Amino acid sequence: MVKNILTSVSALMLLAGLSLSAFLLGSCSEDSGLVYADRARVQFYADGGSLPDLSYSFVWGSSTRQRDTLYIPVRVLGGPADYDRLADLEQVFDSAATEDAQAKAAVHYVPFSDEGARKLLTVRAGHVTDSIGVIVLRDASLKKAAVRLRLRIKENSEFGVGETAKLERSAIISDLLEKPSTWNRTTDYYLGTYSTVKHQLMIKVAGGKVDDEWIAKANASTSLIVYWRGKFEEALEDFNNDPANIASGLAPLREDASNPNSKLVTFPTKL
Amino acid sequence: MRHTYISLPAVLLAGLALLSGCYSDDSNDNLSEPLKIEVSGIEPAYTVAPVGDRLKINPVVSPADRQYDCFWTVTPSTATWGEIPDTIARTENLDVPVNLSLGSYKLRFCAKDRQTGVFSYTEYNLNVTTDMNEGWWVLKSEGDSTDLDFFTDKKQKSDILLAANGHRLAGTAVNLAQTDSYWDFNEGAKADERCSAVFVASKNDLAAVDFFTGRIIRGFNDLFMDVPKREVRDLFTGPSDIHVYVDGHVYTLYNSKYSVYKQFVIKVLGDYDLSSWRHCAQSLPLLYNRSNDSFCSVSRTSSGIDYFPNAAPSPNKTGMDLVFLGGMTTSTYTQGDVALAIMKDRKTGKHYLYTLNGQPYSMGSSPITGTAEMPDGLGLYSADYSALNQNSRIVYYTKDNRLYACNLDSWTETLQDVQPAAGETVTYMEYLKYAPYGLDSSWFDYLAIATSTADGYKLYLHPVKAGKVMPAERVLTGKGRVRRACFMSYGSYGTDKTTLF
Repeated sequence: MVKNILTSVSALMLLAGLSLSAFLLGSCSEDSGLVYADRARVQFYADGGSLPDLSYSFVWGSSTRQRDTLYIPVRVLGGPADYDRLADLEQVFDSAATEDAQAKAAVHYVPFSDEGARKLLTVRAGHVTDSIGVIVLRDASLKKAAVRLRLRIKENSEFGVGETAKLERSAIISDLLEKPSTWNRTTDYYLGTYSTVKHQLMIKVAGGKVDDEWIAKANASTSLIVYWRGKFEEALEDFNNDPANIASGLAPLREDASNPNSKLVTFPTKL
Repeated sequence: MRHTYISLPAVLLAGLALLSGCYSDDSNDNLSEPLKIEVSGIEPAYTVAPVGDRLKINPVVSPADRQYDCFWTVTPSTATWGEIPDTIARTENLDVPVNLSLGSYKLRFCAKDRQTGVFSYTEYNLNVTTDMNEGWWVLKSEGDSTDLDFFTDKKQKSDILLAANGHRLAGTAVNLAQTDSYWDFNEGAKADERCSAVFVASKNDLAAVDFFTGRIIRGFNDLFMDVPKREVRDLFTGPSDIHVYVDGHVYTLYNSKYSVYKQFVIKVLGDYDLSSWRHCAQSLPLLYNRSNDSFCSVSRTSSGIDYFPNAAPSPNKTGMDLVFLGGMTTSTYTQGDVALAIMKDRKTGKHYLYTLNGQPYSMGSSPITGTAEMPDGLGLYSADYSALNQNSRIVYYTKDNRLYACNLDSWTETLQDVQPAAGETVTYMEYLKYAPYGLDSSWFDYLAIATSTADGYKLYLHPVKAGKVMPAERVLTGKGRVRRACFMSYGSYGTDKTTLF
């Protein structure tokens, strides 16, 4: 009897052990997150991690230009390939704008189904970071208002999708002078509040584009932004002191030329 | 039958013996001692200044009756043996000018015997330390160019700019200024770092000069984004700024401890004609615009000339010429807190003594705190050089190379007992006060008077007692013509200086 008891106990212990093992093994399920070794994936990319809106305006180019290519940086997860690979994009609704302000395919941009447009979605051989292009179109409506094009990376035979937070990015397309996306608190501190009139003055003084890249470069160097501020102030002073401008009412320069009560264009002097 | 047993070991032994007997000895028994080169006469360590010193070492290499090829190298002490050192001489005796950055180095000497190729390679410490921590900086003109001489108690370094850079600045000397908050790019750290710099202005040039080596950090063309014409009128300071008056405009360099400013990026807009009389006492500079006869100032946070509000008497549109402006120190640690100006009314020809706040921190109120009419006919009005005693209301001035003192209370003018020596012409005079906080034993006041001689200059440092100029305690001599002198002492809390109003 004792032997039987012992046998029973042993069996029970064995059973318990097997059950415990089965339980433990069963609770260890495979991580369902991205395993980057499975296939190549692609996602949008920008320095600093976040994906600020891109800005494109036809004002910077020739007045006769009707289309242009907006390049968007992307990054591949899974290493380079020794051949060119095509990514895929689709437009999704941009919640930052109304329906009317959404970009329209074939009106504001060339659809991704277009062969020429598709070729621009190439990630070149040997690259893990590259830029893919979207052809933007200069529709007359862009002179009145900007539109927003929100892009999302689509999975295809070449690429899976990358990190969730980096699959969508917006571009603002216009034929207007837009506030550069890089105009930030630093710019506000040294150059003051943004206005289109101020921007136009800055372009005239700088003698070229004062776009995202220009503003970013200025933000990065206190000395540089203070230098340019001095140049803008000098030009503003010359404009405001011009007898012809005074006589015509153009001076002093205001943020809304059509509104004589609008705020004056000024630049701060602080360091 | 008998068996003869032959011992194998014995056979082997015999064989060996035979073999050894057949061995012929070809060795040379006449071996001489290997050549051993000894080097002496070199110290284990040397300390030199980064610029201006010469490294002179005469080693003794033995055996002396042999011929050696020698060379010397220098390499940073942190370099490994694999790194290529810099060869500084290929002679046995070393005599080279030092031109190294501050730091520790390894000095190596190699002597190689020509016949055998045997060589000796020895290493010594070389420390490059500045000898310009403390001393007198003398800004001078040499012909139509500008340079600096430096004097300590024990040493004189002449022509600092020429020695450190191979050239002087173009044009005669204008002024100098100093800051501990200039910025330079450190190649090793790959980052901008704060440094101490002396700014030197001449009529056609401007440079930021390293305080410890005299090397030019940035020259004229690199100190501006839009390079102005090389017509420098003045150089003066603000509370944390250096201003240069060039090509008709004042440009400002912010000496920020935290933000990197290397250039004079702030231009003071407008049309103005600033007097050469000005007062800068670690606050807003007190300037005078001759275009509109107004006291004014400049600031890094202002885009144009700043004016004081009107008052009685008004600091604006005075209708007067500013003929003298000097600073007084009524409180030890607020040097230059009072300024005295002598004004001449263009209509009446009368002179007035204005007392002003020498350290305006804002433009919110007139700096004029008092006025007094001055008597006619004072010799002071036609002085060649003048300097205000910082401790009392006495202006020292020279006229026709004679030294006088004018008491601004009694209006009496006294010929001083101390006079320029025969054959010497006064070219500079300034009252200098040195009073760094907490270092009272180092304080001094001097009336500095420089003269031009046939051989160059003499800079006399005269103590002043009870208003009377005493014989010089020290005389510094050099080549050229003195424009300005300043005593500077670098310490852990920054650089203390004699007043540079």
